[in-house]
Amino acid sequence: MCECCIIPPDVLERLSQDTNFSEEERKVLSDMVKFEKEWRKLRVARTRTMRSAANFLTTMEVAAPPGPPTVSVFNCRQQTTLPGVLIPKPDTSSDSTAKRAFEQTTEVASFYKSVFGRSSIDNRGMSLNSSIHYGVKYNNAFWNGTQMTYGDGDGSIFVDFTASNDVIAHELTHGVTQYTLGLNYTNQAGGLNESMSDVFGTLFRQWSAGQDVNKADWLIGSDIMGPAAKNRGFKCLRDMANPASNHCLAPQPMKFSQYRDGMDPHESSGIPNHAFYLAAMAVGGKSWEKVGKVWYQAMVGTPSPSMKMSTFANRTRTLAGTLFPSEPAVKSAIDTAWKKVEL
Amino acid sequence: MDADLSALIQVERFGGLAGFGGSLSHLRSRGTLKLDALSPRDRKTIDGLFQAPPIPKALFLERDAFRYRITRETPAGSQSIEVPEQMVPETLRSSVRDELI
Repeated sequence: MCECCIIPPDVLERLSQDTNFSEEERKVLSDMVKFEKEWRKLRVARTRTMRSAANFLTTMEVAAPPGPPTVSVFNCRQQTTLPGVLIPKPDTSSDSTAKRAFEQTTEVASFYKSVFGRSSIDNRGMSLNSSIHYGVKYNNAFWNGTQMTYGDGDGSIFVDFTASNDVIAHELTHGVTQYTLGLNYTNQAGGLNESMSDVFGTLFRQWSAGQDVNKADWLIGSDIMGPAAKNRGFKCLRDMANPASNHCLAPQPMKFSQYRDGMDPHESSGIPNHAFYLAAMAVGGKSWEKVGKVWYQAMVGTPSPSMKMSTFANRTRTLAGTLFPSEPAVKSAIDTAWKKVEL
Repeated sequence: MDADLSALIQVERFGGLAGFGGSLSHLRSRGTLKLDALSPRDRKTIDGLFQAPPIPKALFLERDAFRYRITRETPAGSQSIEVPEQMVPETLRSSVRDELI
């Protein structure tokens, strides 16, 4: 049965009267109908509260609680019910997926804290929960609004989705975006949403490896490619340096004139992804130290769920001048990068 | 009116972290099954999904989750809906096969 109550009430109502279901199941469905209205109100209130809190915290510079967030890993055991069974000590587990999910999630939290001063997803030390071994040969990882989830891959096109540390940072960053800009998942805002996850995913990967912009490969998901994908010459999901490359499993547009409403966010994200790459390469050094900081401040600014790409671009232009007033080259590099992608 | 149980249901999976089914994507995920392969309960669930009004996307907080396009034949022609993975019965979810194109 639905695990998060998003089936429309009229469908639930119909199903609750369906005699093909047992009496017990009909009662559950009936209860869900009653619960659904309240749950929807709660969800709207939660979103509003999160956004207000984000505003308040930014304005008042309230100190985040000390200490790193609690990191938990759950085992779905190839089922699809979340969160699954809690793994008591994932850091010492003999399951390499559990150990990796724990260690890399902890590292992503450390990255956000040490580079940006952010305390977890909500900047208030929110516990970080991840579920592994989701489904059977499941070729995906996702953020469900409250936690990260990883499939094992089919072993052919993809391997274990925890194998790429940028994928773990990508999913966690969806949570950060939810608590900051609150971006929608359609049209331009959707592309920006996906781009935030790719940008901070690759920033984390570079930071972990201590790489400067020239050492970095700028690939997304390169460590989850399975043998069948590699044999066909695919190196990654996406490439921020060359979004249209044929070595990507899903090539992307790299100029705004190629953007169309209704595009999948994983396609349209190529445009801001490439702008970030161009800006970081022009500035040089370590991407998280300057251009990454500008992107982060743009992300944690005033929430804007329907944000256009040009609005985000302009926000980074302004912030570059504010954050690096004595280094006009940073603002110039960011301005030129956006212009090259036609924004 | 009783449904034609020999009718085919076509399923295509989109999106996900890897961007399955995008216009430039090298990833596809498709499946076909007969209506009679579904339990009465799953058939009812699918009927409910086809009859329900489209769900506003803003209600979903899932990111990188799969979406499914389900197409069925009716006397009036083919009908398609697109729904989030969590609303799709397991039999339909497991009918798709991921492939490189």
